[in-house]
Amino acid sequence: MPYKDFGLETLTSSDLNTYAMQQMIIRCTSGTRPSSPTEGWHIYETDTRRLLVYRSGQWVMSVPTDVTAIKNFDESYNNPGVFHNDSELVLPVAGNSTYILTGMIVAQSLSDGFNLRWFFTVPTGTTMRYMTNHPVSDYASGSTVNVRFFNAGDAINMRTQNFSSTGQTAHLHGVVVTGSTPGNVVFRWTNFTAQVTIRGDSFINLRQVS
Amino acid sequence: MAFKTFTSTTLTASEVNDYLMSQAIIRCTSGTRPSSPSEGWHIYETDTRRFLGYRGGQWVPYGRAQELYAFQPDTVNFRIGNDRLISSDLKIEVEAGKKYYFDSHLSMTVSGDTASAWVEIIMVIPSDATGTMFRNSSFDIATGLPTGLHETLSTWEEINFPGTDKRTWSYNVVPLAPDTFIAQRRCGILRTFSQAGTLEVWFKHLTNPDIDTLLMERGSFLRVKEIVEI
Repeated sequence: MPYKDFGLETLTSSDLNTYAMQQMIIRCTSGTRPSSPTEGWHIYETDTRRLLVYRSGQWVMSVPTDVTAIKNFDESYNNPGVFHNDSELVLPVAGNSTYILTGMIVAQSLSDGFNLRWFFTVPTGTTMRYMTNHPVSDYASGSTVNVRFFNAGDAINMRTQNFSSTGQTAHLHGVVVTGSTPGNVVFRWTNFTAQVTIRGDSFINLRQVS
Repeated sequence: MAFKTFTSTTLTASEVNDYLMSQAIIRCTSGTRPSSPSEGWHIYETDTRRFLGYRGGQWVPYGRAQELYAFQPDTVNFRIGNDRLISSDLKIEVEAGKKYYFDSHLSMTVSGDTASAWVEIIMVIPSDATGTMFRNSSFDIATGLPTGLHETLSTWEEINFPGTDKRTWSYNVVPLAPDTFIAQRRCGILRTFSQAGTLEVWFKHLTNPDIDTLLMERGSFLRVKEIVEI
């Protein structure tokens, strides 16, 4: 291994394997990782956009990396009660990993009320808990103040008032712990009564921490 | 790309390109980056001393360089004479053609005529930039009562103040009692287009002359991070 100062000699396959191939940042996908890595190999997964190192018998993050899914345009929806997957707010997650979730959902409606409903779908075996800071319909002490925890799959009713052309935001913060099955974290949403618009710049971000 | 165990064969040009060149950490300068990179190429810029990966169609720095911070090093009184528009130390350079996530914590103490002393907090961005942010305050603007932890309503604000060289987000706060402490978090998305520039926090005390002090507390900070989309 490590470094070699080559002289006038024939480059051998052993040299290539030892000094070059095992010391590259190997570009692969999460499904095509090298089959027999050893300590210190590095890969970059082009599907998950993560830089990983083989350390103590497993692939772990070389440096903390995060990815963001962001809505680039407003999307209006009016099909009450029928949830649909957001086409942009989707992020892949690896198996047996932990992520910190942050996000911002900017919503607007044609009338007051809890007109936006959403939840997340996650891969089998994944747990996800997060909190939001927007009004929800079932908060015990009222409808305008809350700090709450949610589980993935729990539908949330978000108030989307129309104050002088402004809507409301929900700030999301939480944790996602995956099981052995990789997959996607997907934002699913619908409207309750009045049409709802989720504004461009809404986003979700996952920062892998283990 | 990917991995290969070489045996006794002739090394071809395509093998050198696919297995070696496109997977090495290329040493270059910020002006001599590879012209046609693909997802997952890596470079080290010897002039900027940054390690970057080509992710999602752009070169993105790893580690600390990906997140930039500006801190308010000392508590400063921004009520300076009759100057009404004051720049703070909270400013970070942003590049053209990028998407950024930003976050901030702004701690202030305002004293004076509590009935009418208004202060405006302004986010300044490049002239053709856009974005959306939300804010949470330790102060309830809707009811006039302190909530202790957060603002009642989390409304969004969209940049819509095109100027000759800058755009601004503004928001007024009013102290409830003498020496009221106000903390506010602002975070959101900033999109830059053709113009590079800075994301900055400014203050303006309005026409009311009764503000005695406007203290930006030590430790207030602004954080900016490039977004890597999937």
